Amino acid sequence: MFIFISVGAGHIHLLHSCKNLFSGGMFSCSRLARIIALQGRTVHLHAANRFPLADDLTVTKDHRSEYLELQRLTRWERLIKPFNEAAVMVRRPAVEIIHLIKHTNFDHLALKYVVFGRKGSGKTMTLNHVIHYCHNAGWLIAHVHSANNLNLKNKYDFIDSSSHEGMYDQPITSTDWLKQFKLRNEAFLKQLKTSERYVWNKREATDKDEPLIAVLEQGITRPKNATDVVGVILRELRLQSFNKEFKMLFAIKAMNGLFAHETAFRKTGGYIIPVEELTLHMHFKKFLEGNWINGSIVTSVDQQFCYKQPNKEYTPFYLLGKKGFDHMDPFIPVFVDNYSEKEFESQMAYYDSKSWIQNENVLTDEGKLYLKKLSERNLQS
Amino acid sequence: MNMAFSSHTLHHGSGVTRRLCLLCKDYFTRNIAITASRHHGSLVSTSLPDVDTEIEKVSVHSLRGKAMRAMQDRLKKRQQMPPSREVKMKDTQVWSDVYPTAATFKWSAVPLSVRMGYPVRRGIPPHKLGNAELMKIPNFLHLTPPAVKKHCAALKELCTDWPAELNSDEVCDKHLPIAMETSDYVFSGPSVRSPKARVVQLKVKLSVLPLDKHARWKLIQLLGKSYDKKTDEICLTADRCPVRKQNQDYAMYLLSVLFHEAHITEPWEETDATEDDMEEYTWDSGQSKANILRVKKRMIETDGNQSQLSEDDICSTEDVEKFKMAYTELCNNPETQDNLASYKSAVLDLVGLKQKTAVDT
Repeated sequence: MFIFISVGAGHIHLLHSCKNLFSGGMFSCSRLARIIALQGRTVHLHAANRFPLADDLTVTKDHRSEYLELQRLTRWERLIKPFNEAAVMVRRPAVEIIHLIKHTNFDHLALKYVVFGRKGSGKTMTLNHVIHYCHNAGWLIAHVHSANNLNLKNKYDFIDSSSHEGMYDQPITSTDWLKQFKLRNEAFLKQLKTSERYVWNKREATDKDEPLIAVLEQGITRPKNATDVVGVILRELRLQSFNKEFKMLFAIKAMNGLFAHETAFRKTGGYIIPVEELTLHMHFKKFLEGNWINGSIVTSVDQQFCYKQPNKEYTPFYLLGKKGFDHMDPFIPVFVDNYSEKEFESQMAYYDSKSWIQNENVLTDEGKLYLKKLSERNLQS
Repeated sequence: MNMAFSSHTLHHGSGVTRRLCLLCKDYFTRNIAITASRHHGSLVSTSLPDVDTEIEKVSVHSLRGKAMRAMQDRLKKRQQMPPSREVKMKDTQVWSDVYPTAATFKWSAVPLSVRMGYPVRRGIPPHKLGNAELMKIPNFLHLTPPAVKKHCAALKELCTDWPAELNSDEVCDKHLPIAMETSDYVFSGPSVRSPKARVVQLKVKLSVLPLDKHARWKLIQLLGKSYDKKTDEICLTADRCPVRKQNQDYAMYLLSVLFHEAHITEPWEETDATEDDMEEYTWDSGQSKANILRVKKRMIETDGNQSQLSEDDICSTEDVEKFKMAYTELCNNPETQDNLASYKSAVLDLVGLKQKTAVDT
């Protein structure tokens, strides 16, 4: 019942850059950066695996607010502060994906994984666990927090696209994405060079062989170009992956949002902008095709926040539809079930150790049984 | 309580009400329940006051008391009403003679102390005497089991024997595959014809018809909602003509037209039919094939130990064949965990990770 997860650093220079990220004045605000690597440690499967929150990684007030601005916190992230540590339960789906990633031949096209399961069964945490592994292995991480939310959030954030006629850019959403992408992968972006000259407008352009971070800065300072910048960066990453200089993880939560039909974006006059007309979605979809190597695509399909989409089932074919399924095909479906008996027990034990449960009756056998039956061992319900 | 309530009615009611009450009282004296009512007010409807008690309460000397007593006397002198029918009924009577057909509830013909209606002032529902609520509702007093048996016995003379050869449902379906469903409506009215009786439903199993693969597919497309996939049944409803016979003919005509139309292949069918139109998914024409070829070609290029393969060669390899099966299974059937598991194992096979999946837990 033991599994060995060795999270070694793949490239020395990348590890170094990561260290810089951690110990330097600038704290990486990526959601898993606060988690210390568990290097060469034996981890108990099904047990809450604790990553102590190191002192030098304590989030300062400024960064905290910056982080909050960028992404909505999940329940797990909200618990990091009161628990004073970021603990991840090592569960089968995440271990399975990591195991497959370890054995993947990276010369082949990027392999796709689709995590699916009931609401609250732990899809996001599975994704986070994989991201954490890849982060420690020194991979470049492109992460879309929730594609379903892209269709809902910032619903007044659309302008006519200059590069794609009849389509719409999303300056605020794209800028936010660029910011978190930059905070996470700054070291890579400084090393990678642009492969061609990009002209943004009459006066501004980015020359060939400039660091990719220049393109990114361009997008952050000029939100009007931000969506195009996302496209350019993803394109560069796609093309340069064939040089095998870096490994890359593309992680999307609730990926079915990219294959939805309607969005909450409504133009004056009542025209509802379909997903097909949003350039940001188009760029992500293009990247999702997997025409690049030296990396993996880990996604999840989610019933939550499906805007006007049927969400009765949680299975990938149903949520993606035929079109989305064909887009993703071939992928490896990974099912995340509710907690097993043992996982439930260790979760309760963990909460107990953190004095999180206030009602003492819950910790009795009867109370646990009651809770188990009520929640079907699903954390959310 | 009943008394108090009655006096209330009398004091505040108009002259007409009072008289009505007295009349009622008079009526009841010759009937069954009234003697009990004096002492057990709740047995009688709360809406009918106990008049005798009321009169006794009023002074003998007052004008009102005198008038009430005079009215009482006058009513007593009237010719007595004959006893109601229910009192005269015998145990040996034939009930179907009392209620031979569907008829409104008649209190005097039903020897049951039924009650119905809104109970006034915390009382109980009013009794059956002149109760309009009981008359509003339909009753089945004419449909007692003996009455139904009598009806059946009378109809039996008019029926013919069931053919002995058609002894089971399978035989019936085999020899008489087409079923026509109609409804007859019997009711009393100025005309005995019901417009609803014209509707005809033709039912036939699709498997009974001699169809090839294309004709079957096309017939299903043409039928649309008239075909039930679960039961494999065609159900054509004809109601456009005024007479049933015409509708029957039309339904048969419709079936034959559809049958012959299904056998015709139009030139546009081969070019314009999309994947969604097809009854079953075929892998060879879809996007999935292109995806697999893309992945496979890259694998072959990088591994380098295989010679250049054509598309057909790639498609005929064992792992691609397995993937094709799993994918088609997933598209044509409802998505289940088993389907997804076989799809997963096929993909793992395809990318060469099959032997790596065993995770020690």
